[in-house]
This record gives sequence, C-alpha cells and structure tokens, in this order.
Amino acid sequence: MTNSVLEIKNASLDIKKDNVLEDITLKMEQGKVYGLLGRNGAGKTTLLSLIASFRKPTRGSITIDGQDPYENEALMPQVDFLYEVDYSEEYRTPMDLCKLTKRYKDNFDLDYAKTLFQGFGITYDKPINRMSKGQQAAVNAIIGLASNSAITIFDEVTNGMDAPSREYFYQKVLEANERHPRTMILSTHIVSEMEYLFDEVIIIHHGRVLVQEPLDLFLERGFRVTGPEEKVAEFTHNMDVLARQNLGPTRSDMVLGRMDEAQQAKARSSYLNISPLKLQELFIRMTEEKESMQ
Amino acid sequence: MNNKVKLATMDFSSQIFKWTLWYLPIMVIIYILVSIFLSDPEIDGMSFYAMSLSANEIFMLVSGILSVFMFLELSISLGLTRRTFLRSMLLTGGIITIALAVITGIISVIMGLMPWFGTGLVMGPLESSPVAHVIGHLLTTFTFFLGGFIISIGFYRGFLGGMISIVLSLCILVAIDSLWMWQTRGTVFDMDVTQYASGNLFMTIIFSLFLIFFTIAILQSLVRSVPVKVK
Repeated sequence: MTNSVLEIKNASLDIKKDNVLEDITLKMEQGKVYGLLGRNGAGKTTLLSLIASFRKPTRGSITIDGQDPYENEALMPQVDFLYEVDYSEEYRTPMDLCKLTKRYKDNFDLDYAKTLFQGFGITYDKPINRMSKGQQAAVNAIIGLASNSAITIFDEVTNGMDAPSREYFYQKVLEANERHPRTMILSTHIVSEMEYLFDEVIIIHHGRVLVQEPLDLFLERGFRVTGPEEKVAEFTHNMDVLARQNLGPTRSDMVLGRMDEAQQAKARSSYLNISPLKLQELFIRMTEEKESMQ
Repeated sequence: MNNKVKLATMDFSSQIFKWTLWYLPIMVIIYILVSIFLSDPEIDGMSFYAMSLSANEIFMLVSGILSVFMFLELSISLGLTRRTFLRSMLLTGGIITIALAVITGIISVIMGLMPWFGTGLVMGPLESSPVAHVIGHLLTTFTFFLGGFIISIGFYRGFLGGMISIVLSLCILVAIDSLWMWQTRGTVFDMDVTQYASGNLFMTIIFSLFLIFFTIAILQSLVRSVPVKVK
C-alpha cells in the first residue's frame, strides 16, 4: 500500500447508554508519527480499536484510502494494533508468535524481528508467560515494528519496560518509519519521553477531539514567562494564564496564546525570560482547563 | 476457500487437536479401569468407541465454549475478518469432529483385538445400523461444538447474552440428541417411542442438517458485528 491516508469523519461510538466517542474527525497520513494523548478514560483505546476494526463506529465513518477497513479482507491486515496483553496463559514463544504473524501478514520481516530481539536483549525461544512484564511489552513492540503494516498502532506499549528498553524502542520507531514509511500512532502517558517522536499531536478529552496539530505549531500555542514577580505579574496581567509558580522572588507564568511583536519587545525590555512550553505541560493544562482554552 | 480461511483452519485445528492429545489418553485410562474393575454384561461388551460417544460430545462442547475466548481476539489482531474467523471455526469443528471419531474408532478396533475389551458399537443392544450410529454421532458431536460456540459468543458479548445463549444452545442440543436417540434407539427422554419412529434415516439427516444450518445462521448474526474487547 502506498501513500495511505486514514480518515475518520464524524465518528461516534455508543456503548449501551454511554456516549464513549463523539464526533471524531481526524486525518492521518503515511510517514508521520502521531501522538495520541488523553487522560484516563478519555477514549484513546476505544478510538484505536475503531481504527483497528475491533469495533464499528455507531455513527460516522473510518476509511483507509477511501475504503472502510471493517471486515475488509485486504485492509484489515494492513492495520496493526499492539496493546498490553495478558500473557499469563500464553505458552508459545515470541518466535512462535512472530512466525504466526508472518503467516498472515506478508510484510512481516522475521529477520528484522530477530535483530530487535537482540537489541532489546531478550530471548525469543522462551515461553512468553515466563517472561517479565517488560519483556512481554518488548515482544509486543517487536511484533509491531517488524510488521511493516501501513498503519501501526502502539497503545501504551512501553508499560512495564525499563528505561533502556524504552529508549531503544523510541529509536526503533524513528528508524522503522524511515525503513518502511507508515502511519504510526503512539498512545502514551509518558508524554515527556516521547514528545520528540511526534510529528503531530492528537488530544482527546471526554471522547472528543480537542486538538490535532503538528507538534511545533501546537507548542506555539503557549509560552512560559519567568522573571521578577512584579514584572511577570504586570506582563501577564491581561493574558490567559494557565498556571503560576513562585520560587522566592521569581515567578513563572504559563500563558496560553501567541505574543505579538509589541509584547515580545516589552518582554525583552523588562528582561523577562520567555521559553516555549513542553508538550506535557500544555497537555496537562489543556485537559484540566478545557473551558479556558476555547 | 481462500488462503486465509485455510491458514486459520489449520492453526485452529492444530491447537484444538493438541487438546485432544490430553483428552484421549485420559479416556483410554478410564476405559481400561472401567473394563477391569466393573463387571456388568453391558460394560464387558462395550467398545472404547461406545464409551467415548458422550465424552466426545462434551469435549466438542467445551472446545466450542473456548473457541471465541481463545481465537477471536488473536484472529482480528492478525487481520482476519470476522467472516473468515467464523468459516475457519466451522471447518475446524468439522475436522476435529471427524478426526476424533476416526481416532476413537482406531483405538477401539485395536483394543477390541485384546480379549479384555468389548467391541460393541453402543452400550447395550444395537437397534439400528452401524452407519446410522456413526452418522448420528458425527452430526451430533458437530452440533455440540456449535452449541458451545453459541455459548462462547453469547458470553463474549455480555452476561445476559451468555445466559440467553445457554438456553438457546440447550434447546438445539436436546433437539439433535432427541432426533438421533429416536432414530437409533427409538427413545426420547428414556420414553419408548419406537411405535412412532419413522426409521427414516434420510429424513433424520435432513432435519439434523436443517438444525445445523439454523445454528450456523444464529452464529453468523452473532459473530458478524461482535466488538473485540481490549483490556
């Protein structure tokens, strides 16, 4: 599949009487890494399960290159959905699972999978139920990376991995997309660690899309002003301040919005330090103070 | 049959076949112990095949119950459609039913050559042709698998669905069992109905197939839109 485009148009999902997802509209393109962020229960996994055809939306549509992937024999193998799985009853080895995946997914690269096993430092001939949680998570990550599917979804796949394994995974995500460009969706709570991987950020809150933007553009939504308390207070007086921190006589305000040239000049003349926000800061504030963002 | 259906059928069948490798030796041990320690004319003449008839049905019922929980999520993760999953499971049920009957039959013949074990195709007197018994056994065992499959998909969809599916499954299983008891033994729920028995094997097969297709239609409607649960 080349230049695949995933489009979600006004998709909603009701489960019994609960409206879990409402009016989701997103567009994702091949070759990009999308960071899917949201608080617990926001609907991230549910949204991903719609993309992976695990569920069908109640309303709206999901298409890959204009075709509905649900029950589509050609498209369903093109989507890989990796999530935390209970492997306590899984007696097969990681290599068994890789070979099984290879049987159904032609693009699965068994040799690359072996290289990844070495990189993660785990053996592939030991039953998975006898592996640690971190090793099991690495097995999931390897299957996703080696699958080379047009759409690869990792839902909190680093849960349980130690720091070196997570770092190795992040490197391989970037490499994998260079080797075999695809649409990669990473859902995570470890925002600060994974920020640099994202080309675009998607934030969902209470089952609705709050943001879909390129990361650099998104980070320009706000800034941090640091300096003497009185000067910072005067500078941010009429601004949308998301959070405030004080350390002795120094104050740091997190502000939502973009500065015009006059404000930039004023900040310089007042010797205020202006710095960009981090994704995690913005994400926390946006999902805490949703009303003030709109 | 497309390639994915073939692959999935092979994988599901080999997995369930591994379970039979546990089940059959246990049945053989039970049969040997029963033959040695129980002394009754009916048991003395009973073959391993005769003793395994009901056990095979229960084994297939359990296999059906496990089917959705063992294979549905894996299948969708591997990119199979629900339709492919259903077709593969149905073929798997058929293959295991036949394999189980053949292996049970072979063990029965081998054990029947020894002086300590019986050779009777059923427990008690044989009241219809061996062919009718074998066909009845195959169709009934396969329906037990489908009954388990319905319970499995019912519970996968939710508790209420599971409870309803148990009732539905029981009705189907009682129906097929009664049909073949009537055909081969002339009894229904232990009541002698020989005088009403048609004795028409062809009609019994037709009714059985109708019941099987009815069950498959229910399964199709339940599997077609089943949401796969994550976490």
